[in-house]
Amino acid sequence: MCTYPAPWPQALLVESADLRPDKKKQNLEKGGFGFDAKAKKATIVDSGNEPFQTSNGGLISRAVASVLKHPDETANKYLNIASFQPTLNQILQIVEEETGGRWTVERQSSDELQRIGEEKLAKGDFSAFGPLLRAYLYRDGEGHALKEGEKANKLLGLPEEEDLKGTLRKWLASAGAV
Amino acid sequence: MLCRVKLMSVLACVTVAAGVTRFIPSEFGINTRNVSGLKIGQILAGKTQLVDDLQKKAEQNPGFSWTGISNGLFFDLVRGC
Repeated sequence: MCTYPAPWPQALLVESADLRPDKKKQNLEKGGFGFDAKAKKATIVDSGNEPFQTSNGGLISRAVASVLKHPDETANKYLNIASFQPTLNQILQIVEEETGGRWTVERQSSDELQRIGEEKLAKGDFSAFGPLLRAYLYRDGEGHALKEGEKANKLLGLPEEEDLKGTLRKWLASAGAV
Repeated sequence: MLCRVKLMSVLACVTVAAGVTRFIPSEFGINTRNVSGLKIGQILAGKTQLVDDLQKKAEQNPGFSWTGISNGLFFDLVRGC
């Protein structure tokens, strides 16, 4: 029987980078969405009209706090939250408006992304995650965005939706694009 | 990947034994309850297996519970985090 020197927390939040291959390059700043503010370049997958689930860091922290504050309602549940569920085209439209000009658009096909991902995976190369994730999120008709009733924002006392334009404005400003 | 899965299972076991009442696994991405059978699911197998494990632990130990949170992609993650 092993003893643990410090008191165990009542709740344990497990953070393991190994279990989160999706963390690597996925936020605005790291260009993970395919938007480059400095080069004013956007990479759009398929038609660019597929809504995808995404959240700001602040909302995620508040969600965790809320779970701990509402233990009974959140016990043994898998909860889905989102700040908003934009499409790549909606993001493109906003950034073009905010920067007062057209961005260069490069197109990718989800089939191609899937193929690249599967080839890498077959070789045991887990950088397959990037292209597979992009295909998963942005493929036309893929349908992974949260439906009504699947969002736990209300259960957790979080706003149903955050400010997409405001978030993008902040990002563009910090990248020196506006 | 197999070693990490085992580590997480051991961690789940130990936390139940230590009386931790809520385990929040490192989800915080796409909903991994829906990805088994997909190619992307192979890469996320560690996460899926951990939550399966937590479900069993909660059934066997009434004082123990878990909550998984899927937030999709991080949008405005603080730089360097």
